[in-house]
Amino acid sequence: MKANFHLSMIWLHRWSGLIFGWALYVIALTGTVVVFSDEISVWMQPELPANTVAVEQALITAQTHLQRAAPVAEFWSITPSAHHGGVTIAWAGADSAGNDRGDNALFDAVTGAVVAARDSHGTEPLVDLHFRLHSGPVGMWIVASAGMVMLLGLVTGVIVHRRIFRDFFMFRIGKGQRSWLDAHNIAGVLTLPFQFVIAFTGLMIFPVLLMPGALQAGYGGDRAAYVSDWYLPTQREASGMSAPLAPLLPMLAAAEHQLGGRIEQIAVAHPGDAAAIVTFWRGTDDRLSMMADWAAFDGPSGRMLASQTRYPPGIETSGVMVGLHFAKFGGAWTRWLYFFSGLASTALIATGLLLWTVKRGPESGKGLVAALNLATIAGLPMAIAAYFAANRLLPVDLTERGEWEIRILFLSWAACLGWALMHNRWASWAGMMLGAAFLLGIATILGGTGPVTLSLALSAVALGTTGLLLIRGARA
Amino acid sequence: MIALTLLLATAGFLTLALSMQRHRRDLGRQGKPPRAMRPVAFLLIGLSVFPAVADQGLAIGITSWGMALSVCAMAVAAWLTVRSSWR
Amino acid sequence: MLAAGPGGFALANAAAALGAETLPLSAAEAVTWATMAAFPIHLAAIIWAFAARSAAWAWAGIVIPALVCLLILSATA
Repeated sequence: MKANFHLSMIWLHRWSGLIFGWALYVIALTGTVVVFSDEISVWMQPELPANTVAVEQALITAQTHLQRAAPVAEFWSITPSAHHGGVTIAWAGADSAGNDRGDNALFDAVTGAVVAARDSHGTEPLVDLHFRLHSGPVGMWIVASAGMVMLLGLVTGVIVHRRIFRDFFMFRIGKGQRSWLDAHNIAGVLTLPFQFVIAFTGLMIFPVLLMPGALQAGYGGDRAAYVSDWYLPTQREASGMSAPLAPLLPMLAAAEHQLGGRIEQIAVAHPGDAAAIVTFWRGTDDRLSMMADWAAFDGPSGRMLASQTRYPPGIETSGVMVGLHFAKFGGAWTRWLYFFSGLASTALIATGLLLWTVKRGPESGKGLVAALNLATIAGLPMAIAAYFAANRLLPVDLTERGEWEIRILFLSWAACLGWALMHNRWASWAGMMLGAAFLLGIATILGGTGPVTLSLALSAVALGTTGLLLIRGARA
Repeated sequence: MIALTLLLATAGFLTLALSMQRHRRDLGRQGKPPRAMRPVAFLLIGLSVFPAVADQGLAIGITSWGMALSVCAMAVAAWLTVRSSWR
Repeated sequence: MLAAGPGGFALANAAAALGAETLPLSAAEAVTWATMAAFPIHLAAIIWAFAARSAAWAWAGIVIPALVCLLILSATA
């Protein structure tokens, strides 16, 4: 029975790992890159005003603009960036001439001018690959299943790998299959807590969507009713009577005092109406929980109506789980730790996939598994590198420029897949690594100065070295 | 302060490696490891939580510390690998 | 395999529904905790299904607890 249990766990580890391994690799690698999504997105729009601006300044600029453009709209939304000197201003409803329309644009928080930045989607396509493989709701379910398989792989992996602590640091290099297994074990064992946390908290981002049973029983499946039971910023209908909106600045000071942190977003419901409401949301970058505290004010008088900074323990717990996944809480140090742990995840999955082909000898090297391994493990880094290079190479005024960047990402990945299906040799691995290094090199040279460019350069060096070592290894 | 956490944790894992027969050889040391080595290693690893907590508060500090342990252990493993394969 | 994936998923949701109804907390809290607990239950069900000696045994371990959950649920409702 015991030996049987061990065998069935090996079987489960192996097959669930193979079937979901490619999806998991894509999820892990894109997740690792988008640890720095804010920084990379700013890098991809170098025209953005670089210096961050105080929220007060951004708010004055925004209120001035909105009073002129849409004094009696349905809503205003003001989002001062914490990463560059812009402020996103959106509104919908009547404009100053009374026409019904809306606008959503990025403004310079100091001058109030529209920021003319190049059209780019930043890390959006990478995030989209990370949480739903760029394929909508179906992709989200695949990713959720993959998350479950990751947890399963970790549990069965611990069972399969019996001498888990004796082999703590062991990595026997240059011994073929044994080396790959050592690498797989080391990446798994040393970062086991991280792997558990990141897979479980990933599932905890949309929990009631993925496990609807409890919501069905408790609320008849009504998600909005569930959420409004513990998170309901004050709302009210427009009165139809006009009243001028009080200055927002004193309300901001009161909200900052009440919520005890940087304000991330400000919304005004029916400005210019006697029943206008101003809501402030606190940022969550300085704490584990991603629950955004809010404070609501009466628009005409500027008096605080209500606020929320506390949540029931279960809700707070799930907020912390989301925070642990997004890794915004601890500043740059923490994000680097997440980045390296994410690289270990990626390596864990990649070595697991490679064990499949290595174990079955070179004659299976032309098989579908080997081709998909090549296209995923080496192809995706090259496609991401192409995406970053395209950001600097495409003409700034190209129509649909942002879309073209994404097309280049997927076209170069498709090219890697095509190549992998036709020529799957060690040289192809080296070629894709060197290609990725070359493309990152272009992005570095054209990338200006700054930490993101430096990181791209280091990634180029790392991938280039790997590629060269592969060539040397293939010759030997 | 986090740098201190990383330093202490790395030192701790290196000590742990030195307390293991096999990895002593990787690092070019002969003979049996002293018995006190392993407790010292765990002490160093445990102590490294304090700078992180002092810097980032209890909840975030402990989380960062956990992540730091993983990364430092990987760094030590990589160093041992390089040492043992070049010797 | 069917018992593990969809079967385990059904069991986890049945258990979550039971938790949402019976946990002595406010409705929102009961739903939240029950949903969080459902994921490890699914995981355990998958491992059970693959570790079981036979397919019938695997199905039994999934279907019986799920039925029990649903029975209690319909009794309390």
